Amino acid sequence: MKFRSRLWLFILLMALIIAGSLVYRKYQQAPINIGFAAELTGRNAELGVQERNGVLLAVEEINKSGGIAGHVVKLVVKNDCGKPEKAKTADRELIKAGVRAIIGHATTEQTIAGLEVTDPARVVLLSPTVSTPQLSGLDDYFFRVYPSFNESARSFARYVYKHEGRKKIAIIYDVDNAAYAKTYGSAFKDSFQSWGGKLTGELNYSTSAQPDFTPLLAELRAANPEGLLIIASDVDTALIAQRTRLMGWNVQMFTSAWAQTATLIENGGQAVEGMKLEQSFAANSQSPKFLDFQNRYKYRFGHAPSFGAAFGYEAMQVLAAALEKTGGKADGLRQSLIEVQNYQGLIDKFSFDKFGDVKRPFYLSTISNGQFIILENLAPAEPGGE
Amino acid sequence: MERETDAPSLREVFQRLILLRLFIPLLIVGLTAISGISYLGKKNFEIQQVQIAQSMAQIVDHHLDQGGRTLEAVARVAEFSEMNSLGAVMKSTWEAYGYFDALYYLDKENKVKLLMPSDPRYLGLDMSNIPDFQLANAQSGLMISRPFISFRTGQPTVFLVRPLTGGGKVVGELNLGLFQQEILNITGKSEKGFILIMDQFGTLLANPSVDLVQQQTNMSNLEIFHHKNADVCSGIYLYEGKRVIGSAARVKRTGWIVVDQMPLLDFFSSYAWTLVIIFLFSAAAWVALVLNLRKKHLQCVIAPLENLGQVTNALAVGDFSQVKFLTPLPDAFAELNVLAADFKCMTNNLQARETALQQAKEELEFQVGQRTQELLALNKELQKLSSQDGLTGIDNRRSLENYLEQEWQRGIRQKNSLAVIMLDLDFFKSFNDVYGHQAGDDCLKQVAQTLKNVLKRSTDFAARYGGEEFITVLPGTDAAGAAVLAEEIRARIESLGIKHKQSSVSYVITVSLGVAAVVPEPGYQSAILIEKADQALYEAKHKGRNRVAVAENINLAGRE
Repeated sequence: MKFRSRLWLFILLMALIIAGSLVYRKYQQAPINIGFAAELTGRNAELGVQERNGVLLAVEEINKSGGIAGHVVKLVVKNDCGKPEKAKTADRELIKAGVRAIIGHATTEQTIAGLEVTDPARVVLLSPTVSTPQLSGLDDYFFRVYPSFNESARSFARYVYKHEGRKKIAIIYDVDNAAYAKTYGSAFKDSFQSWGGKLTGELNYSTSAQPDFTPLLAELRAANPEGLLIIASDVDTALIAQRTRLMGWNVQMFTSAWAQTATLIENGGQAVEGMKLEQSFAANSQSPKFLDFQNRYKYRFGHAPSFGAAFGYEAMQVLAAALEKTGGKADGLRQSLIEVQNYQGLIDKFSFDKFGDVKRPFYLSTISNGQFIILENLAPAEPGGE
Repeated sequence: MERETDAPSLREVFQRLILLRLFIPLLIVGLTAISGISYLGKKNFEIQQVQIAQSMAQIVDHHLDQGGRTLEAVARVAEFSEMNSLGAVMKSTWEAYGYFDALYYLDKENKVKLLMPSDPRYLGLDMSNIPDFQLANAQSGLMISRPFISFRTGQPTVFLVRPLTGGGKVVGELNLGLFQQEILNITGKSEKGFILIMDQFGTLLANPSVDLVQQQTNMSNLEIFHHKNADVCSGIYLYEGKRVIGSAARVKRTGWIVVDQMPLLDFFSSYAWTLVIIFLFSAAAWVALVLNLRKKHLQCVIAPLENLGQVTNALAVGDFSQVKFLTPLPDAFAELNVLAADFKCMTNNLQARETALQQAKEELEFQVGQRTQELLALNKELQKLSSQDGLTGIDNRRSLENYLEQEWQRGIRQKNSLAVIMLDLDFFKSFNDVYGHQAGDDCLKQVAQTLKNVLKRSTDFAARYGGEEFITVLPGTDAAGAAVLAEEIRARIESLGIKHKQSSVSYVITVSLGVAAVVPEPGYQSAILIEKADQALYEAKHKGRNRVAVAENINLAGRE
């Protein structure tokens, strides 16, 4: 009798262990899906790849410390190929895959297209780097950790005009990301002209056509501007800069925050030395949290992170914090994100306003000896102000 | 005793032994064997994987070597010839080998001097900031850059850089699609496994999913990546959420890592059928073995033992009939058969002894019965003897007193008259003296016989009262009836004609009789009747003997 009952106990115990592990596995097998969509392939993929890497690093760290509300986070990555239609498809697929939120896109044009899908589906779209003011102040499901360039472009223009004393400027921009490039150009132009500056020429090109920049630049050069503003991706900015110098045109070059990756420097060679840009990323920050992030990123991916990686990382971390409050559910995520105040990012603290936008400081930088150097703080963020 | 009741039965003990000492050990042995086979299979598979990874690493190395030689040839021309001829050589090399996407000739400042295929958009570009380019110098020989996206084609690419002695570089742009093609060639041969190549930082150079390569996915999070210090290694790790078994080999020239891996599930499923079949067969064999052993054991050991046990139980309550079932079973073993035989022999002896005992007991009981019967008869005789007078054979005085008392009580109950006649032989002392005691005894016997003859009713009772005195008790008789009977007795004795010379009343033996009768009443002794009869006898003696005297009416109430 004793033997029998012990045997039964043993069998029962085994059954319990097996059932428990099955339930646990089932629980484990129900991860929280987070979508990611950006341009990941092709010549202009660097920004998207960096963002993906930053998000991935955050996801891996979140999972290592127990996931979100006890669930493992699974990152579902889609490539929007830098095309608005592909961006919509990517977002549709992600929503179908049951993601709680989407991080993306890297560029404005794709983000605006993607919102046509995500907003009606009431899925949060959180962009690490999109900065167009077109999306500011909209009561929607769009969030971003990068500030609108509305102010920074204007401050940049003011700097160019007042500080650098350049009265005439030419602009070249990539029409493939017109939502960003054209808007940025307009903001800059408006401000520059309002200070009394003059636009000597404005040309655009399509990056997908891989044009020869020489004739375009020659046209701009003919008007003899004192400065050249390039609003393009990192690779294109590098190539345009190289072309400019190859023509023997020694004009001071400026570029937007879009191009601020290592690829700009790698492909720009000596031509990009001294180029000035406006950015919200204090690349040489000595904040311990940021230095630590740099080390971890370098260990994981073999090279230093650029701004895309840092903002991708922050986007995922702040999303995780908000999801933790909703217990990992998409319901209430929007409200939960809006309630995020004074979130400690890698370098500074930031808060979402009720439209999902942030105010963060931005800087004037230059490239010196193959490095981004912060020259000055263009405008400190004023919390709450629009 | 408690232990005995707790002790499990033979069957339970046997089942437990079969399960714990045979089946489970067999199962464990089987599982161990299968684990061993699996382990060996895994080892073997890993060796195979390592070989595939190594051969892939060799292919990669071969390609790099090939590229290096091609660049070397171009470099020789660049170092010793004119620009014009260099352009021609680059063109013919690029066309002939088709190995590089593009060939660059960089001047001392790392600017593009010549480009094949020729493209004016890229001529003159400064490539000094391309990662690792600064590291390439005349001493280092061929340098291979980390992978990146070509600004020309947008494809994942590596640069092979051959520095020139006089400054400047010859650069070949190698499309990673080359390796992609190679891994697909090899992967096509194996079913579920596939090969991936990473650079020394974990960035994918080739993967069956070309998207992952184009997206510059970094897989330094794979566990096997961190074993990169060893030339080859194997392990089980997570790949995109799935467990895989993989082996890695290193491309020595670049530090790139070639991994051949297969989902663990697929690996096991390729072995699974074999393992499952082996396991099922052996499990079936064990079950058959165990069942057969159980059956045989039941047949040969347990059943006979249980049979023996049952017979012993039956025997314990004295049932010998079961023993005949104790025939030796053909399957039982010798010791048990001997035991059964011994037991049967013992039982037979026991039974014989029991039978003998039973017979002895029955005989004894019979004898006891006989003796008892005899004793009872003897006892009756003794009783009879004790109530009889030894000489005359009629009842004695004690018997008389008992009878009289009994009848007195009956008389009280029935209010019936009870009469007593007391008689005494006249001059009997002198008769004895004259004729001797023998004659006296004969005389007494005749008188007693006569009394007996005269009394006709069964209830009438005669006894010798003592010496030559006799008494009769006559229930239901009054004084007059008794007097008639007394007279008849007197007459009959006289008529016996026993001569008596010394009698003064006759020449024969005569008797005097006293009669008394009364209706008994409670509170009075029966002895009164004898006393009255004695008084009447005395009166008859006094009146001249050989006569009857009747006691006057006895009034019990008025007497005292």
